[in-house]
Formats: sequence, C-alpha cells, structure tokens
Amino acid sequence: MIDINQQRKIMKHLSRGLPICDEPYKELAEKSGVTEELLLEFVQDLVETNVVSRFGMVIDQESVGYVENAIVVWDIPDEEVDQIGALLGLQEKISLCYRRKRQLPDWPYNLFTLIHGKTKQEVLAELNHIVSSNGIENYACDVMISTETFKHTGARQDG
Amino acid sequence: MELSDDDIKLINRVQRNFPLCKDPFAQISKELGLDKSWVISRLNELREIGVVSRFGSIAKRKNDGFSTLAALKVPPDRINDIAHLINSYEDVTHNYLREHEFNLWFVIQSNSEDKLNSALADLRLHMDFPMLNLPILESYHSDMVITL
Repeated sequence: MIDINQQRKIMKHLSRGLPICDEPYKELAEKSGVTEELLLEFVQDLVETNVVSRFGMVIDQESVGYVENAIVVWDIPDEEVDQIGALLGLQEKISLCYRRKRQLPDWPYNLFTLIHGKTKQEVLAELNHIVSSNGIENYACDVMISTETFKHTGARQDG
Repeated sequence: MELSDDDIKLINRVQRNFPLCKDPFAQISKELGLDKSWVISRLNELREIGVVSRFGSIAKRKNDGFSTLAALKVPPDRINDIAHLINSYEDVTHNYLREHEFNLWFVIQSNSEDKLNSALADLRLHMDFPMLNLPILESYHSDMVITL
C-alpha cells in the first residue's frame, strides 16, 4: 500500500519531471520511499482513471516550428460555454482553452483559445476549420495573432 | 532547429502512451528500431535545448492558482519601453505583441493573490493605458500533443 504522504511525494515528482535515464521509475520510487512495482501500479491507475490527462513528454511548440499563434476569443452564452469549451479543448492545434471573466463593456468575450501553426496562414486556416467543423459560426469572435514575442517562459505545471 | 527523421519518430512517440515498465526506453527503442543509448542521450539533448520541456504527468486541470491574462492598448511608439517594463516583473511568464487594438498581452503567475494584485496595481501606477484583467474561471484544456 502507498500511504497518502507517499502519494503526495509521487505526484509532486511526476509534475516536476522525471530523469531521462535507464530506470527512471526506480529513481522516483526511491525518492518517494516505495517499491518500483507499487509506483508503476499507482501511475498506471492515475492514467486509467484520468486523474492525469497524459503521461509522457511535453514538446515546446515553438522550437519544433510551431512559431505562430493566435489568441482566439468567443462570446458564448453562459449556459453553453462549458459544452463548447470542452469541445474546442479537443482540437489538435488548440493548446489552451479557458473560460475567463468578461470585462463589459470593453470586452464581451468569455471563451479563450490559443491556436498554433507553422505560419500565420496555417493558424487562420485552422481557425476556419475549427469554426466550421464545430458549428460555431454564429458566435461573435475576435482574433489576436502574435507578431512579436517579448517573453515566453515554460511555466512548470504543478498540481 | 534541424530535426532528423529519427528525431521526429522519437518526438511523435514519447508524447503519449509512454511505457510504464522497468525499462521504458528499451521498449521505445525496440518499437522504433533505434539504439537505446542513442535514444536516452538524444532525449536528454532535446531537453537541454528546450525541445522537450518536461517528462512527467500532465494534470487534467491546470492549477493556475494565482494567475491572470492581461491586455493593454499601447500606442505604437511606446510598445518597446512598455514591453520591457512588463518583462521586468519576475512573475510575468508570457508577453506578446498581437494584432489588435489591445496589442500587448501578458500572463502573470504569482504564488499569492496579494503578489499578483500588487504587480497589477504597480503596473497601473506606471501607465494609464486601458487595461484588461482576465482571470480564468474554468479550465477546459491545457496541453498539446504535436505530430510532426
């Protein structure tokens, strides 16, 4: 059995990152004070029960050529936003999909997505595809394509 | 960054269904027909140069605790100095110029609500351009698997 403190330790190490070496789980098990077998079972459970959405490596979009991005925002009625948000979150080229606070009257939009592509044209083509394939043509939408990066740090994902 | 065919195979493979067994890189190497010691050293290199940003679990819901997306309407001739001022805040993680009347978009991520609010208040002391403060109410998705 893995106790709650060991579980917390494992979760912390899993979100901070594992070493890329011969036996990455053995190292993590030792740090967390459990056997490797128990640790592997525990991680398997996390994946199968969807506590974590994915286990593996995260690739930095920009360094593999996905250098262009646009924030695309929609004004979706509050009673529909959860459903449409979940739908857009499944799109392959969308990395972030959040509901954010409207700021009326300046800012009526409540659904925010970040769409990536290798070129600006590719980003806009992807947007057209997303709009038509999800039937969301009738909602007010605005596009903010990036033209210069002043700061971009890979924030660590905790929790 | 030039990626070889083997790099691309590797990058496409390691993002999901990562093997949960004693020797995961042996399994991946076997699947892809690559040498295991090359796989490990190449992935470490890719991590060092920032192509691989993390190896671990991706949470179902990102815990954004104390963060917000903010936007400013900055006159074109002030963009550079305002962008640099924003960058000087340690808690600013992202800062982009975008084609829109709100043209400067940045993310602040702090370890406390007080710290976040005082950074925003401090910024407002330095400028009087229209600003949006757009905290997250619900996270539907924060992840991306890339197929090259």
